[in-house]
Amino acid sequence: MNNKILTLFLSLVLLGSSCTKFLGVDEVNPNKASEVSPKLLLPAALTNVVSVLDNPRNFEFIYLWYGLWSVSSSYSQPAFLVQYRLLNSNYQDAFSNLYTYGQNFTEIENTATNPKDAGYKAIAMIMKAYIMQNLVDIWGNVPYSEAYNATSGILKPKYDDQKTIYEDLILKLDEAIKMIQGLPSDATEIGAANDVMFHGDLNRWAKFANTVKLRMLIHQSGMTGRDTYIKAALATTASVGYLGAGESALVNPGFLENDTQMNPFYEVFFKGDGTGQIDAFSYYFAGKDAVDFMAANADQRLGRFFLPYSGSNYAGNYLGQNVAVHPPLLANQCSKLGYSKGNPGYLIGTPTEAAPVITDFESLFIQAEAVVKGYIAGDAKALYNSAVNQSFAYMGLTASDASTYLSQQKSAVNYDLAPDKINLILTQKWVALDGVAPIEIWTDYRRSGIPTFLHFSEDNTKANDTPPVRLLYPQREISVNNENVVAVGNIDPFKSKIFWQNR
Amino acid sequence: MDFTYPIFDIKFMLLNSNRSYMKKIALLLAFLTVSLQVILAQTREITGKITSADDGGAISGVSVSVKETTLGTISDMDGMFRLNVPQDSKFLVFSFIGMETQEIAINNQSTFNIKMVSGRISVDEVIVTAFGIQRKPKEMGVATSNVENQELTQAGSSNVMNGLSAKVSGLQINTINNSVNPDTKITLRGNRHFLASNQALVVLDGVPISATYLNSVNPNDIESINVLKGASVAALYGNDASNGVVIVTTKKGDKGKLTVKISNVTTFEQVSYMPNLQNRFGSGAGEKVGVEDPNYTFWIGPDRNTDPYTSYENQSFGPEFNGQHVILGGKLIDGTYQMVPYSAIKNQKKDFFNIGVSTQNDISVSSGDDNGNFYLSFQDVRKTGTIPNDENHRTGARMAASKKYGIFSADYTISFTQTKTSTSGGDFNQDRPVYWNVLNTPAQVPLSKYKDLVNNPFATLDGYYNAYYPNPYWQLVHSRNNQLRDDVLGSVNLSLKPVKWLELSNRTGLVFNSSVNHSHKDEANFSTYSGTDPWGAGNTASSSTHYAGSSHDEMRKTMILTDDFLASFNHVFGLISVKGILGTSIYSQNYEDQSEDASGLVIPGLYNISNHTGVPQVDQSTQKRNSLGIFADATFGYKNYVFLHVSGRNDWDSRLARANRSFFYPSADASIILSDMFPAIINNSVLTFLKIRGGCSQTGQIALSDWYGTLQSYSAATGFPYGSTSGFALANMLGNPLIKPEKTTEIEMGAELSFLKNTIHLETNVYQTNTKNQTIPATISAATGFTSALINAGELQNKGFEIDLKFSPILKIGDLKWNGGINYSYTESKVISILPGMNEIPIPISATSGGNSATTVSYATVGEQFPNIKVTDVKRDPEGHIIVDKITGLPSKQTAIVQVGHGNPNHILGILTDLNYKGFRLAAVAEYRGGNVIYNAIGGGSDGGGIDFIGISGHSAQNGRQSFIIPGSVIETSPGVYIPNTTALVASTGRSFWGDSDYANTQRAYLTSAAFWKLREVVLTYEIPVNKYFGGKILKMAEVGIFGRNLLMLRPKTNDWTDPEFNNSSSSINAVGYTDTSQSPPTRLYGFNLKFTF
Repeated sequence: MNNKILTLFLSLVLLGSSCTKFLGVDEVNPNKASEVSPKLLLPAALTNVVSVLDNPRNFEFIYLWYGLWSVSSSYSQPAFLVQYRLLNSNYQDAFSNLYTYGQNFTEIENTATNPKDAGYKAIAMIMKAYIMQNLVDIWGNVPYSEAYNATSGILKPKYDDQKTIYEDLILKLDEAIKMIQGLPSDATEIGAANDVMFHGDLNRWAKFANTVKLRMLIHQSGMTGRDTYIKAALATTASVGYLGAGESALVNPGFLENDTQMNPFYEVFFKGDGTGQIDAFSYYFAGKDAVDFMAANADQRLGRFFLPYSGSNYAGNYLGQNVAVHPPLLANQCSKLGYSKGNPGYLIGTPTEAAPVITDFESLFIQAEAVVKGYIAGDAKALYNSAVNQSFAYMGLTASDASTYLSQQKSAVNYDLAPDKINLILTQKWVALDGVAPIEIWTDYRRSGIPTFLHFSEDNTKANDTPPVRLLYPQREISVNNENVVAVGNIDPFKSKIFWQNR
Repeated sequence: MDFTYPIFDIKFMLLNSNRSYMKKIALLLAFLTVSLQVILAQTREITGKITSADDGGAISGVSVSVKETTLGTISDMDGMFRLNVPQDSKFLVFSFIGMETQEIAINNQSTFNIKMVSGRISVDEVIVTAFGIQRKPKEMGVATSNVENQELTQAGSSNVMNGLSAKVSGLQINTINNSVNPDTKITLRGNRHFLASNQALVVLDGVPISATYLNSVNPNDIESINVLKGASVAALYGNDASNGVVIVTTKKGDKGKLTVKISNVTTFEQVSYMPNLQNRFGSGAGEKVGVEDPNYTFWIGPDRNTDPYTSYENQSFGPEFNGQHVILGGKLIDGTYQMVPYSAIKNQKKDFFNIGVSTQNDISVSSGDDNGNFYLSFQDVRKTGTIPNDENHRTGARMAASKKYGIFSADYTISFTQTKTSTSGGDFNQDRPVYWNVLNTPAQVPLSKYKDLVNNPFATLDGYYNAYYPNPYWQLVHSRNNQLRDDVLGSVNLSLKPVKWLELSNRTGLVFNSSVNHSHKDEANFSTYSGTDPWGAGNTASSSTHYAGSSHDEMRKTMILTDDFLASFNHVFGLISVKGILGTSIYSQNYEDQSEDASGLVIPGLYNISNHTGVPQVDQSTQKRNSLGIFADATFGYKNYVFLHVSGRNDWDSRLARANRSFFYPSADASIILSDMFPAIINNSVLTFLKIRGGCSQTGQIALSDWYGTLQSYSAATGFPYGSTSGFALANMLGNPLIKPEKTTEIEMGAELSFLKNTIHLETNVYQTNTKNQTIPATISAATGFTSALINAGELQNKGFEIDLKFSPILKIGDLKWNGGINYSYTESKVISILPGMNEIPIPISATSGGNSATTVSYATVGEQFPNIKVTDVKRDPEGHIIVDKITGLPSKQTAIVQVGHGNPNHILGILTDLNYKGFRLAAVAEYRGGNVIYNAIGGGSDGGGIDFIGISGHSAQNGRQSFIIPGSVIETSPGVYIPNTTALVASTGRSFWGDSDYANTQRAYLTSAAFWKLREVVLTYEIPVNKYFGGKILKMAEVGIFGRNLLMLRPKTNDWTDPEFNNSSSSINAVGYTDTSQSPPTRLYGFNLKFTF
């Protein structure tokens, strides 16, 4: 009896001591995945990037400052925008989101270590470069070399020099293109469903990479003494080419008309259950500069970007217009943003349409500019005409509509009649990129001052004559990464220009 | 035999004193023999029975002696005693360890049936500490406190925690909300953690359970509750013991014959008070009425645009009541409408609530002998709530038994409880609670007439007068939260005592809980007629013309398995006693939760996930944790008056990453019985006992709300899957593998003093705890790829002292005995640090305020008490006066939130009194708490938030809604210069002020002191002398009693809102200091009980 009891006790003690396995039971999280393959990360990472860059809430200031949109008179004018008084709290979501979504591409890079997975790795590198290019264009010096290193214990990454970042990104893009060109024959197929941008077409990815590169180099075209660098950088990948007509980089995981599943641009304006609009739809109105420019040139896209306020009448406001000089139009005298339920080809398209990353017409405009500037070979006029044609197509118009438009005897339209080709290209690009690529609109203006006819705020108390040239660093960065933000130096929203801004 | 000694002494003396007078001696001897015979003849026999006053069971081993003699005996197995005493003996003394010593006058009585009462003050009882280790109070170097069953259950509480309120210093019990299944929060010595739970660990029969489990335990099954305040005795429980430990021991069955106890407790619960409500003004919103149809609107006074009567309005900013007949609501489709007198209905809102009835029936059977015992009990509790249709039904059974075979002994206890609860949920419109919709009823509305939702056309969705909020009776029927909960708790303890100095024991425990929740809201479909807004309200009854119905189903399962092995050594080496314990402790917990939400009920009344349209939302969570502890504990005693106790425990816990999985914490305490060491100091009639003690200890707590928080995790990205395309994204919180436990260090000193032969007992403690390495979700640079990371940082300090003063008795005159006690504790929690560069973090709440999500007012702020209450406020001058506009008289909101106090009381005072006279007992418990503040969102403070906004509060009707100057307001004449406001009147004091002004829309105006006095318990019982009437053969004890709980509550005048003990979050949340309409009104309870022992 006693022996049995002793045995029982001893076995209980032994039970306690064989504990390694007992304690290890929870090393796998049963609720969430602890490891995920690149093919599951990629679709979400790509979709998340467009959810930031195509969300008009994040970049409304650009549309409003640069004459494309205005604010309904039923809402008070946003004073900080009218007066150009940016705070560290304004428009900072993109900063956090671009980095956290960028981390997912870092995860793809880290997990795609097998040479067979080089395609995934290349895509991740290209997207990281694309994200970083946007971050630099908005905030200048940003964390780069020490970013995405939390698991190595770097919780306060230093801020790197913007020009150095840009130069390194060019090398990264070159490397990615080489990786795609040198893919092994047994490389992992990137399924059409996993690559929600190019459906597994890696040659298209190479072209996209090259287009991002051209975009970054053309940004620097106004810098003195930069031509040699630009030309040399372009020469290394000249054979790859750029995104051409019909080769737009668009993301569509299969958007649905459901809350949280819609096209990110559309989602800001309309409810997912199809029952109607959200306040934003009655908040934004047409910009007078855009309406006037399109109306003056019989541009059929006017009816796509904006809605007539009555009959076929279109009108817009300037942001911050002085009541005495330009009495603002009331809501019923002013055009709303373009929308036609269920129909694509309007500014606010449909809930299911693809979200743009870089459109073919943007690529064509860039190429046209690069040709004019002598960086690449080609026919600038053909590229320009193709760009406008593709913009018309994007807005649901026909090729003949485009050619009618282009053949007008107007210097603001017709390549041959335009005295300043760059001015023509960038002004047309300004209109075409409305609702598609706000950061590029801002960048083009900052580096070139085009369009030249824009009306800036008439507010007496504005902080500066022209809008800020950058955003301030996020408040949360100032709180949690202070020493590195301080190390960048004093930031003046009007004077601390992005390095490529030569004006 | 005993009483021959004195005579023998005398004989002996006489024999020695004078040898020569033998004859005389012989004579004397003869005389003495005679006198001895006389003395013998003068003794008489006394018999009696000794039973326990607590349960009527016989007590053996009680010492019975004649006062001031050495004559005596002890009671036998059946509690019987027999004693011959001298004729002239005056008093009998009955004493027993752990019981109060009693002196009984003999007089001419020969039969004594004595009831021994558990001693409140006894220095010889045994204290059950961690793992059932029994220690003598003398040895204890830190504070513990014991509550016996009688104290716990005296006022008929069916909930264990409510029975503990005000009875132990340092222990704070908060009823978070009244309900048929109330949520209670238990904290010991304040707060130690910013975000992790501050609730004390409850150990039931050796098995650690969460505090909420205690609500499933039948209070009548509890033998005693031992509160281990000082962490050094609790430290053995490892990483869950940092908040102190409450040890609950259930009944085991006493020695003696079979005892059967039957009892009934019937309790009535009634709303004790409503917020201060006005009865002067009726419906109206001050809105300009579009259609000037006298059927719908009228106005009194010259300005028709202010304060018109609006028949369908929920707000009460209409004209003053005048008794005339007015239309209420509007015309129904058939043209009918209702007319009501325009005058306030008395108690209209209070009468909405029922008198809740709770019936509690108990039966228990127990028996035992030297080698074993058993205990069996059943309980059934049925409750109905103050909110109509709310009910709770709890049925439980417990069995416990023990058996001894020589060196081996075994005991077990197992219980099963099933609890069914049904409460009403939110409405279909804004998901508002019942109370909210009751409050949104102007005073002239005959609310009680709208009970019949089917036959009364004015109670239906279409016909209900209120265009903004639905009939509260709707949700009593159509929106229900039903829960079925099963609890199984059990433990088996085996022990072996091979030699006298060694004992090996092993306890295996099991806690199983499963709960199934089914909540539903029925479809609400308005007719086409009412959907078109025929009354011109600008709203159909509640914005929606159709609500599709919804349901939420959730199943939760928790299983905890524990196994503790202990080897105890006990030996005395000369003057030194040594008691050592080595042990291991295994804890394994499994938690599973699955839930589904669906909307669009297809067939009304069928609440099944298959009866819904669309895609249901589903969620699943599994959590597992295993931990292992190894500990050693030793107590050294010197001469039985100096004791040193040391312990150490090392834990390994699966929730932490491998590298940090092991952590150690030590503790030490000592006690010195000065009165035994230096007997000279008690050589006086005042001081009887003096002990000083002190201890320090460390405990750890793993504060990961997600047990996998140290791991990287990926979940389906927003929007995914899109059809067949799946996508995963990394969590934004960095899984930090470096997380360590929060560490609490406690230092404690105390003293125990007894005066006047133990009639006054004083115990006092001073302590300080410092909890470092708080687990905080810190914001990090997003450029890392993550927006936050869990890190260990920050420190919370907790200081306080406790005084327990007990009188036993205060007064004793004959059979009248009055005992009493006072306990007081002072607690102060202060935030020492958070993070470098970060001085404040918000303490989140998981609550909604009506349909709107509520923002916390609780913060951890460096240098301030925790939780720090910060609220929105209007602009004030440096002296705190409200600055108003010199024209409008109105203040304006300031952007910063202001600090106004803290949420936890500093002072808790408990007063206990207990008067006994023959079979009667009158006892009462009162409690005071103070030093803290409460934000009463029920009043207002955020847009559209409270009863000021509704205009139904007395507060909003002050000054009869005439223009007034905001009291104490100032006007700024030039920057920084303020003069008292004597001119600027607030012109409109109706809806525009209480609804829209910054005064009513900032929280500061609704902040009050949270101080209160509560008469927690009043009990009157009478023990029927059954022996006299029934001879005590079958019925051994019978008791009847009446009781009341929370009969009286005193608050500062400024708090005319609700019970400041409430909180709008659950008991596991640390953000206190916020009440709103999600809590039902405060209640008082009263009832009677009957107890029979056979």
